[in-house]
Amino acid sequence: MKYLTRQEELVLLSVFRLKDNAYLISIQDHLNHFTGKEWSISSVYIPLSRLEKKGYLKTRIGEVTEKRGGKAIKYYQVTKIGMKALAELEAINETMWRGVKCPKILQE
Amino acid sequence: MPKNPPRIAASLLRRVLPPMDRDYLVGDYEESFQRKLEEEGALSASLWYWIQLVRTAPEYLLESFYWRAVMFKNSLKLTFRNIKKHMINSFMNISGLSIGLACSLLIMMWVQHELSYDRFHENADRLYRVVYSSDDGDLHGSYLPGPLTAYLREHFPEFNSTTGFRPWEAKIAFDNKRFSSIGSYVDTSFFSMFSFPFEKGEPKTALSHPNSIVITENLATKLFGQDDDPMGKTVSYNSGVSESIPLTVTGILKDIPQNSHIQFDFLLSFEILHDWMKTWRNKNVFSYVLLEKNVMPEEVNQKISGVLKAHKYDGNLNLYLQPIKSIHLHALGGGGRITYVYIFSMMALLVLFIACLNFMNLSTAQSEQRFKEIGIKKVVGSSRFQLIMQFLCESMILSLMSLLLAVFIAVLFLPSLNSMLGTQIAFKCTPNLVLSIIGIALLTGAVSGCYPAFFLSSFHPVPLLKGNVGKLTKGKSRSPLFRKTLVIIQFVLSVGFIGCILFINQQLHHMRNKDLGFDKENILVLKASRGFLEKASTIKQELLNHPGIQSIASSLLRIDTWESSDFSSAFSWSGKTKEIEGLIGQNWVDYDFLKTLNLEMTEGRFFSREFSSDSTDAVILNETAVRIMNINEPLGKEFIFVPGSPNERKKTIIGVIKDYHTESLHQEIRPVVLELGGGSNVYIKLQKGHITETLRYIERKIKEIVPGESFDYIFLDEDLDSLYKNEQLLGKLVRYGTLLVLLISSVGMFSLASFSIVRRTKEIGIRKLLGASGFRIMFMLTKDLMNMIFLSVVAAWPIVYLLMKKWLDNFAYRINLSIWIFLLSGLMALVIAMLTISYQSIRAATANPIDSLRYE
Repeated sequence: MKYLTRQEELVLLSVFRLKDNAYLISIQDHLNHFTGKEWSISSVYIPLSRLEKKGYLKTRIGEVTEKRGGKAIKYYQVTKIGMKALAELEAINETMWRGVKCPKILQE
Repeated sequence: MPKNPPRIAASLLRRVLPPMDRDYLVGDYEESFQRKLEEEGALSASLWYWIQLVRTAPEYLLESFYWRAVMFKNSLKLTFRNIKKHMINSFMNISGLSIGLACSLLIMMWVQHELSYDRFHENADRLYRVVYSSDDGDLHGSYLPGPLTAYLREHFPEFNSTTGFRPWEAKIAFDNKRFSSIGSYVDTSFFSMFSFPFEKGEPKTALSHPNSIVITENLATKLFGQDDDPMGKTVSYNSGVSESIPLTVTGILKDIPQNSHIQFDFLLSFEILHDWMKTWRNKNVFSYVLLEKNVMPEEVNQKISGVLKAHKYDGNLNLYLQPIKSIHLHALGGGGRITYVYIFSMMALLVLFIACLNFMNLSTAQSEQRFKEIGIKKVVGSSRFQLIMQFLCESMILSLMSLLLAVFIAVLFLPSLNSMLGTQIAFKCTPNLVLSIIGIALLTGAVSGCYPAFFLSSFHPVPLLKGNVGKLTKGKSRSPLFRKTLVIIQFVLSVGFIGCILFINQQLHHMRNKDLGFDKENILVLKASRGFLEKASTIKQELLNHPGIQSIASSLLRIDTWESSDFSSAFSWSGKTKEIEGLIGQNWVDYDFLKTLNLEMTEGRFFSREFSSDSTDAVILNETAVRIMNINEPLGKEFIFVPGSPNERKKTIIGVIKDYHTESLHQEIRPVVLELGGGSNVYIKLQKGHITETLRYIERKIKEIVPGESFDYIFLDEDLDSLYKNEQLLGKLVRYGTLLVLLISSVGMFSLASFSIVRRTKEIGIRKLLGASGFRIMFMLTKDLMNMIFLSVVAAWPIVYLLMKKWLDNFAYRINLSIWIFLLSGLMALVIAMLTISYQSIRAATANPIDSLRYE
């Protein structure tokens, strides 16, 4: 597996968490909520499109709504390879954190 | 009612969004905008939209660059794979292109060198040389009377400053070291006009004292060695015509750059110029002037044109100004080196052009092997534009690779170019040069890649993938007209070059071997000095004692290298009935002139010691003179020099000499009259064999009798060759050009033939199976090509005819444009083509058909 960037990692995880409702705006909200930082549309889109090109995500074209100015919605979904990548990430994170703790001072 | 996002921002945003997901992204932005609208109101939502645009646009753009770079990397990879896969073909392609590029690179360097002459002077735009032309425009020259520069300076305010320039070869000595070098007498203003930088010394005052000398670093090192400071030292200067004088070194100049038309090792003050150069009667000094700012040279020309006439120097000479920057390239009265700059540049373009044609042809021919690749790319969604870009990129990479090879070739051949042209061009990597050669390489790549790119990307993908190539070119012949045209153009040029070089060689050969009316083999020509002439009879006796020396003669003018200005005497004769135009050339020769040079008399006798009156009262005419004068029995008639003037002289015609060539073969033979005398051109006829030994003997004797005399000689046949220097250079150029063109077109033909044979492998196999003979198949394979060659030969002939007719018109004595040469040129092209393709066709024709049919 090629290593993902931090942004790609977070975006991939968000898509996974959002299950069937993963599209750009919902992912953005999700990320804003969890990271406490403001993600712009492009900063979500670029990792998304790269993940898509790498084959970690597949897409599904959804409904057209008026609040979207008559444009269709594009939903993302994690593929099998994407799942594998996520699993690996989780494993790596867990093994690397095992037995150590971040000092309290830095956590704040 | 929902409000829309700001229109301008929205349309801008559309532009930067990646096309693939554009619609969805617009929707996403819209959704966020609507949410902001509900929460915070219209103004803040619009503002937000704008900020989003500004903040995110660079990110999208960067992203698109990223993908483009990825694609480019992919293209690159494909290119290299393709090069590797078709090794031989790529090699042919690259070598063809690199020959073309190397050729143009060399020529560009040369042209740049030629154009750089005399441009390094700060005042180059205002520097002029004063020159003259005769009223009828025939005669041009740049040697002028010594006092002219001072006169111009005093009488015309348009001149900022003027300087004379009188080159002189002299001996300069310091301690025991003596060097013969070339320098010049100049005015004090010389250094303020020309930008020759000083190493040491003060330009303004360097030559203000008459007894000072400025020398170049080169001469300074020779005279004083590396370490000594030459400033203020006294050297002894011997001009060869007067006593040595002491001069003080007042300045050291940096060495004179090669691209300066004036070259010298030392400079002296004009004050100590020899007196005989200071009169208006002699013309032997160059005049350079620096115009005031904003003075038009045309105005000055009008004012100064009559100056020589005003001094009653020469009736019909007009002065005018020649820009210093044009001196090197433009001969006075037209022509000059610039012609070669043009011819060279044309040749470079032609060779490059042929190389491009070659490249196009090969890439297109190769295309069939890439149909699958193109088809799949198209199916997967590559746009035509992308395909074109890929092919262009490929050809540019190839041409850049060729450039590397070309630079290598150019460096390799630079010395031989230098020796051929007598230049010292060094390979300098100036940013200008580097940029322009990379530019040329890229342009070549683009030009030669554009046809294959458009051609290959134009097909519909389905037949490409089905391998149904026949359908693609349905209605067209197997090799499209375009490619045939390319091959034909290449061959027209090849045949043209071959034809031209054959004719040029023939004319050169003709000029070298034409009977000039006198012997030119084994004849030594010496330029005798005053000291030599004083002791001429002693020397002659001494030399004739040697068995290797047959006879010795002398004349005032060299027998072979006359110029138009040497035919300048008016003449008349007794019994003259009609006025004739034209002047006669005069020469003074001694008794042995006829014998030594093996000339022939047609009537009468040559000068003889038995007739004492010969020295005062006898002339000999050449046949042309007699014919012009139209007299039946010239012997005994009176010949009158300069009739009607105080200098009129009358002499008796004692003989008629057979015509011989006094000028190059560009000119018809003109009338000549000989008088008894002799002069500084000494001819020594040597016996064949032992020539070096004889030469040593002559040198020893001369130095014995006239101490200090230098022994500078030339053989008459070499001297004659120098008359045709330009023609020989042209011959060399065209020869190299022919070689290059043939090489490149052969390379092209070779790979074309191999392609067409590979394509027809099965056909050949089946034909053989059905009983076609090897010869039959050879014929079939070469027939197409032969047709094209015939066509190009026929097209090339008129071009060769016109070009060569124009060139041969320069010569009064020339070869005929014989049909045989035309046929020969065609035949040669045919043979070369046959040889190039024969290897592959023979191999194809003799191959076992099983091999070609077994695999399906």
